[in-house]
Amino acid sequence: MLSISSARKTLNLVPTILKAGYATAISKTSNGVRVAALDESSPAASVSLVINAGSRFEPKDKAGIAHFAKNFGFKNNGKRSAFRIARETELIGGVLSTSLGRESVTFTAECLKEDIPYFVEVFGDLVAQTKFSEHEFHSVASEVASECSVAESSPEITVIEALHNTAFRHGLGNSLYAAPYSDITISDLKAFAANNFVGSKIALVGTGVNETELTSLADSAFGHVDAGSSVQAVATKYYGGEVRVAHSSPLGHVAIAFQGAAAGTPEFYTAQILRSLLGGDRFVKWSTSGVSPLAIAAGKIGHGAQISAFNYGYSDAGLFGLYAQAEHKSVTEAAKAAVDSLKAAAKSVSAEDFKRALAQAKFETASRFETRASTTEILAAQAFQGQKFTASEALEAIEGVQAGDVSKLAAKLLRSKPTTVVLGRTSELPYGDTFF
Amino acid sequence: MSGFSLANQVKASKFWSKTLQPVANAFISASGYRKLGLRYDDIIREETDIIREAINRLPEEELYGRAFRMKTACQYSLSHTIATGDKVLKPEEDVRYLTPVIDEVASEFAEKEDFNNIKSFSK
Repeated sequence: MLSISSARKTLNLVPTILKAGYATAISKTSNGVRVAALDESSPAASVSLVINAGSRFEPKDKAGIAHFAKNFGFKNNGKRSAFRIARETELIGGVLSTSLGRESVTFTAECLKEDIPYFVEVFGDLVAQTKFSEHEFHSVASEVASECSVAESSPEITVIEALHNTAFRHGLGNSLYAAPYSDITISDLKAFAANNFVGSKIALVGTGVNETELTSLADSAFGHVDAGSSVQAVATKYYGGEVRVAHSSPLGHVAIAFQGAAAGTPEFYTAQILRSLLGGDRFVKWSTSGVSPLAIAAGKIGHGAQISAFNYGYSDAGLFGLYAQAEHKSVTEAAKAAVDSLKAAAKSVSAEDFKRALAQAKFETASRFETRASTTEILAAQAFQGQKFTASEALEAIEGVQAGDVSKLAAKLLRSKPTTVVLGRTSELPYGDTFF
Repeated sequence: MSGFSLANQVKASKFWSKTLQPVANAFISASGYRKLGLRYDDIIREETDIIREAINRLPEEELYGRAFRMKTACQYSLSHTIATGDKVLKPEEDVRYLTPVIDEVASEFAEKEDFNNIKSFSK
């Protein structure tokens, strides 16, 4: 039993311990592989191999190579065949998945705690010993082609890709999907893997596993991986502009984006609150309207109109914007309403609206620390930044934002050159310069 | 590929390889496939799942070469002639381009078979 005085002492100690916790460096193996883990008490665990080799690292003449590299995950390697990896994963009850982002490509295994060592070993082989054989390349190429055609037929994906390309041109502007003209060969892939699958560009991220344990596993599994040089990505520049995409989509789509802020910066958190303030999300199923300005505007237009705000943050740049989709005859009205609500936010933000937006932004941030997939994403970003922060620290950063900061940010966004993408029957769709 | 073989032991021993090499050469020349312009790997029986899969995995230029040699052999056969002089396939041209692929496919098939008949599993 603790006496009251000693209990108080312990309480006083907590913040100092937590602060010391924030300052801890990211663990690294001898060849630069970063390791970050969140030890939870649940019996299920996950481990992800995150390689800083997303679409922004593609050479100009090899567009789409990262997409091929993603689909080459878990294929034949020097130690195990693709078939064997799949069967063994089935036998021990794991789930394998891969995903590609603009910054990194992620290979994930979800499994029981005791099987973590097996998957770390598989990841080590994936990095150092993947065979990249010709006959597998044919099946990978047809997977890539079918994913590309799915993406092409989705208006939302096409708009987001066009938006990034127009805003950033190269680097972050590269598409996540291979282009129809992508001329990738097996030797290009081998060269891409040799340059990018190196220690300094790799992070091993675990949930439900102890960090020291994961570091020692990584030490043996990634021991023969080349350390590589830590080449920095080319700094991102924001350009802006307008793109019109002809598409057979029944709805017209308009996206207007502005130069946002890099993830984790104070301005990014302010943008998160602005995003919640403008809203557009429906929190009640089947509701026709909500309390946020964008939801109200969409409700007025009706007929399946949707208006929302988005805030994408990357390591060195961001994109904040508005997305409207509605029937072709009313999509201009929807986009205008969205721009008007951003303009209104630039003038002033009422205390009541700010309170709601702050609460929503806080909940959204906190819940990103709850699911396994988003925790992995957060940990990987922290590993590459070389700095850890917790959910409570992220919430602290959000709480520091004032209503004035939000309207100042909205005004700043409106001053940057807009990036506009319209998709649908282009002859009926508005032009970007008519909104301002 | 199958059956009992002392090939590796013979190759390892200087005495046996020296003694048996002339016999092997005589056997190859008697079998006559090189006189039709073929390589040893061209005359492996094609009608099994393993070989068919292995042929599918060949790079394009190997496949073209294989088809070309087959056509040449057919022409020789139709015209009742065989290659003479430097048209006969040289021993150094008789490359085993398919055997390594066959071995790879065979081990994959065997692995699949093992997993399909698995009783217990330990990591």
